[in-house]
Formats: sequence, structure tokens, C-alpha cells
Amino acid sequence: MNPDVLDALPRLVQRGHLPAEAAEPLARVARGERFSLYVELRLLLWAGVALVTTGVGILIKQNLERIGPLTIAIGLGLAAAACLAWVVWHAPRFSWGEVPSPNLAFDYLLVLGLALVAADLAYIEVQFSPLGANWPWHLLVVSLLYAAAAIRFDSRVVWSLALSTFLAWRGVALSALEHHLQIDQEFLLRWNALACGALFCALGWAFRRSGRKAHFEPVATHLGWLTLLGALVYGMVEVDGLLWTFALLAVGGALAAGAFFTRRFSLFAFGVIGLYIAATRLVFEGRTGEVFGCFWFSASGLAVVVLLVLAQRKLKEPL
Amino acid sequence: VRADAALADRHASVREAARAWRAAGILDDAGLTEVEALLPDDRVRVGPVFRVLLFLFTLIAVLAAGGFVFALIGSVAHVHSWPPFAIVSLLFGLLALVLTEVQTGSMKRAQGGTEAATSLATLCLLLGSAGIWLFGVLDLDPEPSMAFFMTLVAVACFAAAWRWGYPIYGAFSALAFLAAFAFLPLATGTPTAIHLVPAVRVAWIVLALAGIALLPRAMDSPRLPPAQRHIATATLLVLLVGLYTAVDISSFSGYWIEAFSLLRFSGSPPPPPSAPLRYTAMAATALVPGLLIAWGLVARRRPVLILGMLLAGCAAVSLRRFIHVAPLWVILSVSGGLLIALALLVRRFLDRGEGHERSGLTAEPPLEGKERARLLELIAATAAFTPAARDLPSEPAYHGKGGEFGGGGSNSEF
Repeated sequence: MNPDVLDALPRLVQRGHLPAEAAEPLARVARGERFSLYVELRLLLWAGVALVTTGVGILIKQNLERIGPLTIAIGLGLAAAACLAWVVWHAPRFSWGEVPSPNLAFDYLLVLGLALVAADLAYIEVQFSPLGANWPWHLLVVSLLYAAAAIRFDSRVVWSLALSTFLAWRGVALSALEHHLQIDQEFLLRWNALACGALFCALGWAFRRSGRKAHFEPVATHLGWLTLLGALVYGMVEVDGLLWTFALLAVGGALAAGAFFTRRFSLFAFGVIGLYIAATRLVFEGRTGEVFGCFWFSASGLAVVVLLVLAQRKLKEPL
Repeated sequence: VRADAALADRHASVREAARAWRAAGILDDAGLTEVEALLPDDRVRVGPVFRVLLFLFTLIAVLAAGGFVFALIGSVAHVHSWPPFAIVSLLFGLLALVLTEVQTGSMKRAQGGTEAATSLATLCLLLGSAGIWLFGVLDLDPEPSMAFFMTLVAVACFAAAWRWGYPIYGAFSALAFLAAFAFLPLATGTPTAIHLVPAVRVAWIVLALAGIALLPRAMDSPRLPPAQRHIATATLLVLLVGLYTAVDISSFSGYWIEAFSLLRFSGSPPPPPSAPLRYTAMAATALVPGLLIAWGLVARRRPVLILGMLLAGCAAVSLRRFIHVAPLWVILSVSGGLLIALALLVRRFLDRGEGHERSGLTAEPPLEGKERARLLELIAATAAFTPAARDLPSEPAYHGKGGEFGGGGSNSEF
């Protein structure tokens, strides 16, 4: 119930700001006479998909001996096929633009179907080892499958899963590499994360530039910059030396400046936080002590607040 | 809340709705401009990203300034007694209070990040000062004094919520109030107070029932500005969580609420509750979320409805600890499938009603808050469904066969 909207509606109608026929449905919503369960139903769907995928994970882990590997693989395949068949049946025609979801459950059954495919692939890979020592590559296959499905069915949720699974592939592949070749994993991890971050940002740029699936760009760009900045912070913390700190300073500064001029508010926040972390690390280089630490955080915090207020006045981020 | 801030809050509520009407095509740009002219908002507000950044850095600046003076007193002036710290904390708390009042008053800031940060710093520093005074300067025993301190926290948070209009402080206040009741048996300091311990659970239930009886009026009251209505909602939600915790079977059989007091008095928790009490608790565990969902639907209270759904999940986990009807994977897969089916059936049922609604309930998306919900969905789905790292196959461990040393007839082994 929203008494303020209820109070304002007659005034808006009286002054001609709102047509009378439009006011009544809005008044019904404000009085709570028409109540949308859209969010709650999506919450139920999300919980349902999460429960089924967890249940399947436990099934694979605990009942292998009893049910048999082939039965499990076929069962998972059939369940995945059922979900994906429903999705294909209900899917609208392909478009490079944004396509409204045809059904409340569309995204979730797509996620469930793909999660079951991924579980099935992982299971087959563990049981029958078709890829042998190259087993981490099945994650790349899953990631590419997610990406293809995201583009075909226009799902931003699946697109974000494609990117995060790609990151998981790199992480697992590096662990395996270190395991076999005894290479410093930290070093590889940092550079891989940097490369993945750059790749995601480039993908985002390409989507936007081409105008094809341009609404996927924010997911790729945000995940890309988060990965890139995370790798730099990781390098700064783990590696003894100022190179990574300066790199974070430069990248954070460039990102903040670029985002400021292009009015990308969340990227501006990433840049400012990266810049602040790097500056703090530089200031504390060779210095310790509570008094100095508190002074720095107080003075620098105040300075950042002043700069942010000035930046905000220029940018005027919408509420 | 100041009268001018309350009026701006009401106008902001309608302007937000009008922006959603504009996005839905009910209003055109000229209409939105006219609505905004009719309902002016004189507050200085900033967008969500800048708000978070300003909040974060203001909090760092204010708390670090207090820490700086603390550090100076301790390491430069070499003062190691409590009173100077309590006084510094008090002074900085008062300074933050003045800053908040100035920002929300003459500077007309709202949803600006900085005033929220200074208000939080006010609470932290003033309550920190009170804590230092009670437990450091007066050297009170923390356990008997905790109920008093928690009451102090509850009152301070409630005052902050009411004055500055932050619902989160209303929630903190209710939480501290519940904690004060939990610590109450320790306040007497005598072992006979062990008889008061079971009353804590009853008190939580009574408080929640009182909240259910009284707070909905405040939640719907046209006399209160939106911020204060939201405070009432936040308070009610915490009391309802308290109610569920008081009746939940896991909490009941594990003495989650009483454990602290019981251990203090008797050194060990009592035996598990009797069978009838356990069955009653099991029934209540299932009943409370169900009733909340029903109440949320009937009274059209979305926060109560969503809380009921979340508590239903908690109840399922809790009951599963005591009732084993099938293996875990069956329970999870079947209940997941049922939830998906339920969502689809409800959607279809509502969609087939006249105007896509039945009894006023619809599955159509709401006008407001759709984008926020989609963002949350994206984050939740990515977090939940990204493949986790798997254990690498371990290489066979090295097994030495034992070396031999010695020579010339020696047969020693190691």
C-alpha cells in the first residue's frame, strides 16, 4: 500500500497530468488491490532450479555404485533434453536485438537444462574420461555451449554463466598444469586473469560496437574489469614489488577517467576503488604505525569524498 | 524526521512511482515533468553508485579521524586509562551527530551517502563511548550488564531511525531489543534467575505478536512519511524472524536462545525437550512460515510474503534434521521440481483470470523495481550455477621401502 501515491493521484488527474482511465489501475496497485507476484514466482523458480541442480550433484556423488554410471548419464541427458526441448518449443525467433522473454520460466528452464547438460558432461568426463589428461577442456565446451545458448535464446543470465564458466575453465586448467608441470601457479593465475579480463572487455566492446546483442555488453565489461582489477590487486598483495601497484594505479586511474567521460557509473566506482587501494599501498610502502595509518585513512577519505562530490555534480547520476 | 524532510520524502515516493509510469508508457515526458513540478523535491540526492562510494569514504574518514586521536592518546601521550578514550569517542560521536543534523537540515541532503555514513558513525562512536564507560571505566561485569547495554543500543538505534528515517536502524533496534531480553536472566547475577531463562523464548513470541498487532497500522498510516513506514516494516520483519527462531525445532532442541544463560548458570545445557514439546515445535516450524506467506498474500505485504518464503526454506532444512522420509538428493530434486511446477501452475492460473488476475493477484511484472530484481537475479544465478573447482586427482603418494645402511655384515634398517 502506498498512501502517498493514493493521495497524489486525484490531484494529478484533476490538473490533467494523468488521464482518469490510467489513474484507476494505478490506484488499485497503490491500494494493494492488484498485487504482482512476479518477483515471488521468479524467486520460487530460482530456488527450484538451485534445489534440483544440488540434488543432482548429490545423486551423482552418492549413488554411483547403486544406479550405475550409464543410467546416471542417460538420466541426466534425458532430463536436460526435456528442459531444453521446452525452451526450444517456446523460444521466439532469433534476433540480434533484445528479445522479451516469452515466459516467466523461460530463463530458468534454460538455466536448468544447461546446468544438467554441464553436470552430465562433467559426469561422463569423470566416468569415461574421453578427454583423458585434457579433462579441464570440458569446462571450455560448457562455456561455449552456454555462450551459444545465451545468444540464441537471448539470456543475460546464461551469458554471465558462460563468462564465469570460462574463468572456471582457466582456473582448473592452471591447477592441472601446475599439478603436472610444477609451474608457479600464482604467476600463471595472475596473467590468465589479466588476459581473461581483457578478453571480456574486448567482447563487451565488440558487442556494443557491432550493435549485435549490445545488451550483453554490460555483463561482459563489468566482469572483465572486475577480473582485471582483481588480478592486479592479487599481484599487488602477493608479489613483492611496486610494479603491480603502479599497474593498478594506472589501470584504476584510466578506468575512472574513462568511465567519468562516458558516464559509466559502476565502472567509475571500480576505478576509484582500484585507485584508492593502489594509492594506499604506495603510501604505506616502508611506513607503519597506527597514528600514520589513521591519519592517512582520515585525510585521504575526506579528500576522496570532496572529489566524489565534485564529480557527482558534473555527472548527475540518475536516482 | 523533520517536517520538510518528511514532505520531500512523500514527494520522492510519488516521483519514483511516476518515473515507473513513464517507463511503462502510462505518462509521457511532459507528464513526468509536470508531476515533478507539482511535487517538488528539495533534497540533494545522488545516484546509487555515488551514494555507495560517498558512504564508504565518509565512514572511513570519520572513523579513522576518531582512530587517529585514539592512537595519538595511546602512543604519543602514553595514556593507557579508559576515560580519555571514552571522552574522545563521545566527542567524535557528538561531532558526527552535528554533521548529520547539518546535512539533513540546512544542507537538505537525503540519499546522499555522506549523511548516512555520519549517522552510522554517530551510533558507533556514541555507543562505543557508552561501552567503554560501562565496561572499561566503571569496570562492570559484561554478562549482567549486557541486557542494559543492549537496551541502550536499542533505544539509540530507534532514536536514530525515527530522527533520520533509516529503516536499517529500526531493524538494528529490534534486534538489540531481542538480544536485551536474551541477556535479561543474567542481569540479576543470581543462580535463581535460571528459572527466568525459558521466559526469554516466550518474551520473543509475545514481542512478535505485539508487533503483528501494532506495527501494520504504522506501516499503512498516511500520517507517517514513507521512511517511518519502512522503519515499522523493518522492525516487524526482525520481530517475525525472532518469532520463527523462538518456535523453530532446531533452535528449540538446541537451546539456541537460552544456551548462553544456561551455560552461565548451570555449566551445561539441559537435556533435549520432551517429545510433546518437540512435536509442537515441529508443527510450529512448519506453521509460522505458512502463516506468514498467507498473511503476506491476503494483506498484500510483499516483505512479509518474501520473508515467509525464505523462512519456509529454513523450516524445510530444520525439519529435515529430525524427519527423514527419503534420501537428501530425492528431497532436493523433488522439492525443486515441485517449486518449479508450482510457480508455472500459479502463473498459468493467474494469467487465465480476467485481466490476467485473480482476486487481485497477478503474475504480470510490477511497474516498479523490475530492473533491480533482474540485476539481483543475474548476480544470484551466476553465484549459484557457476561450476565449482573440483578436486584434482591425487597422484599416488611416495612410499619408501626403507633404506639400509651399514656394511660389513650389518643388517640395520631405518
